Amino acid sequence: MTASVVDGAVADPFCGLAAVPLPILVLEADGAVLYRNPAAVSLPVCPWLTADVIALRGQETLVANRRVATAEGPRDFVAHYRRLEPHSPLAAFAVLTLTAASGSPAPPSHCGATDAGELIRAAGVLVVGTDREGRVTSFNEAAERVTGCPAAEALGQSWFEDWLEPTRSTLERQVLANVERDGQFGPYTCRVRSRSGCSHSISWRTSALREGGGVVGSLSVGWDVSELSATQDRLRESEERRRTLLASLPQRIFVKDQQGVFVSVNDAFARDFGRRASDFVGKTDFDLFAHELAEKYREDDRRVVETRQTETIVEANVTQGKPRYVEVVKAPVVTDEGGVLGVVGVFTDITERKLMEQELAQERDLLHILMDNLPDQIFFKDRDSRFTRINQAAAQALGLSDPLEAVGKLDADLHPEELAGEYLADEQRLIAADQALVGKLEAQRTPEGKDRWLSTTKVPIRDRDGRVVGIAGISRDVSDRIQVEEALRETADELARSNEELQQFAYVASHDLQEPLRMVASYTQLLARRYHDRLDQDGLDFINYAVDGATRMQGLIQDLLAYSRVGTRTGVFEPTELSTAMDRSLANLHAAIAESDARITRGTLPTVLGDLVQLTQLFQNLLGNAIKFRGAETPHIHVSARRTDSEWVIAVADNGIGLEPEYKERIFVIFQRLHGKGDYPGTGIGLAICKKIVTRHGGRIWVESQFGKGATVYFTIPVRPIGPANRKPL
Amino acid sequence: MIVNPPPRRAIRILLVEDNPADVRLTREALKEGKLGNSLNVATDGVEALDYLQRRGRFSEATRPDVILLDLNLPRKNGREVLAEIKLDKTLRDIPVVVLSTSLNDEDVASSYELRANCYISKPVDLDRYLHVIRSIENFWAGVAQLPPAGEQQ
Repeated sequence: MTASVVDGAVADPFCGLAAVPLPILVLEADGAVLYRNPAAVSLPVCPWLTADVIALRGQETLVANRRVATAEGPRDFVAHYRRLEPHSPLAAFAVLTLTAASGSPAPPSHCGATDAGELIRAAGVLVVGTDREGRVTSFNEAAERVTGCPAAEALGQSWFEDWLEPTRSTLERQVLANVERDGQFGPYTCRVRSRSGCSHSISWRTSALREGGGVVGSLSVGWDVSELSATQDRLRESEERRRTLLASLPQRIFVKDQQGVFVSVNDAFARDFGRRASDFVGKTDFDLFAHELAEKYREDDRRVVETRQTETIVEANVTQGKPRYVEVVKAPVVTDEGGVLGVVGVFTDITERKLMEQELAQERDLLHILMDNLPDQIFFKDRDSRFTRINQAAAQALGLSDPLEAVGKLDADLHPEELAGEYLADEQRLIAADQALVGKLEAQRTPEGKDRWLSTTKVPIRDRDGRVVGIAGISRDVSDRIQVEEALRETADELARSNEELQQFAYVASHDLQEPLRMVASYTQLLARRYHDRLDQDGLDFINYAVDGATRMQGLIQDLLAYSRVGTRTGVFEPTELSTAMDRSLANLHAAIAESDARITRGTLPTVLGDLVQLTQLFQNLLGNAIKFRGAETPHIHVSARRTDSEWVIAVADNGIGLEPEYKERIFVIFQRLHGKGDYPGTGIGLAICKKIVTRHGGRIWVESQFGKGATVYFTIPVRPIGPANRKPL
Repeated sequence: MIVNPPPRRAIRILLVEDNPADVRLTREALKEGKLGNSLNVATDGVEALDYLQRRGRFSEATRPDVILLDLNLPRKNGREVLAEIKLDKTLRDIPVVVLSTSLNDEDVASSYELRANCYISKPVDLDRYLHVIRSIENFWAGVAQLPPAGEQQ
């Protein structure tokens, strides 16, 4: 760096400084000396420069007492560092002004205005001397030029009151007080008015003028920084706007210089560290992050600077135990001239997006797992019914080795024509109607040429605007179920057929059986009638037995017919009063009741849903039995009803012979009799018919009895709300 | 109380019955009634209609006063015969008594729907059977007023 040092003798942008009688250095960011003015040429190397410049980062000025080894021995200086604005046209970082430390002898020829007068005049440096009251005692050419006032006129005027703005008397007191006390003041910047109305921004340094050990006045040395100041104002303004803008952005933003030192960061960035934005200026990544991470960031920055390429880097870290994802865009900061000043970085917290992406990815993975492992065929099609996607099972069903092979194909390309036609028609219908097709049973030809049955559901797929853009479908192989259903249906059909045949058979048999029976009975009776006088007692007995047998046979057939009819009746259940059914049965039993002198009583009987004819038959059989199996006493039969939650329980209680408990079940079986025909005639069908009727009405029938102590037959009929809706055929 | 019972007269009966034993039993019953009624027999539905419409060998047949019709008949069953009789303007005024072993409600109902004049089930017991046949005889020959004679008279 020293080789590039520009000496004060050479005309350059700093020529203004050449005339200043103080040692001045212009420093780069690392402390390297970019320029020294003639007053500083004799200074030796100052080893503390680098440290001071680094210490200057983050502040405007720095004042330090420094000792310099000169040819005349060590000399103490006060080092004034002033940081240059980053946008200063000077490609430099700091200006160092060395003044003699107070108390030490003033450097020879350096403070005297007259000594430096010529140089200063030539350099355009303003030199204004005042007395202790601030009245102008000297006024050089540059001052004349800037103020537009000839020196002759300026002399004696109050320098601070008349020429400077905006601080005037305040400034005067401040400057003079400092100068009296410290021997020097500055640098400070104030505006100097000119007579023509414009003003110049002048950077001043004021030193005490001494005579005979006492302060007699001050000497202010200034140089015009108007241009610099105007630029800086504009920069400050735009910088201010930029800062306000950046501060309010949620993105984390930083600007680093080429060396990786933070130049500025916005509030959002600072907040992440729980600090203020200004805390970061002058720091590096190594101050903020673990060494390894800082290395990586430095490397990233370096690459961006080198390649001048904007990079987008996604970083993951764990903040307060939670995963956090940050997307960093790093871009080189390039000047108009093409130089790279540093790196600007914009962080966006993409944790939410990232987590959502992960969730989506998980969902997608689940969906894939589901699609590819379900045995059901899944497919997606566009509006024209072209496959856009199918799953593994569908590919297999179509004889494709890869689901992708189906993409773009039509059903007609993969299925027999007649099946494809039906699929297409269904799909076009559902797309037009925007309505799902659920559980449609359809055939499919396997790659081996066999048919299978599918239960297929197809639904329209809509885009975000609700327009149908295709269909999604799922098909399940239900061949097994269909087979079972078919087998079931066949069995049911067969059962119905055989039932019908049985009914037909029962009817025909009973009808056709009666004819020959009648003949047997009639003719044996005719035989007895015509020839009784020619037959002995045996002959007549035999004929009686034959007639009796035929008669009983006919009874059996009649009852069998009645039994089979209970099932064949296809009547509807109507609200039926049980008392009506009972009345009718009593009418039918009139002869038996009269003959036995039976007393029949009843409680309140409900109205139920049922078949009046069958319920009449039911009462007739039960009451008939109660009369038939009467004991020694006059028969008394009581019919009553009580209701449980869900059903009516009807009781038919008699005082007859009753039965042994072990026969309780058997009596309801067809043709089961407990008594000899001689004692109690009958076919053994009556209670079987009762059971069939009760069962058909959804109830149960049972008997409770002790032999010799009467019997009570109970039957139930479900309680159903009685209304038209329940008039269903049974 | 019947004050003036109508005079008994012989009536012509057509029995449509395929079972010879049944025919004989009916004959025996009529014989025991000793009313001198005449009995003609057709053994199936087709023959019965031929007789009534005097077709083929029945061209000289006489029109019966009463028809006793069984329901289970070969070739044409009793219902068909009944339906044809009741559709035929020249025959439909002849009373038809359906005689059947069936107690089936449907058989009874359908017979009346086809305009049978009455439905009687054949009892198994001989005495009751004889009583039934005599009742028929008595009713149609002695109680009922038959329609005025057709072209036969």
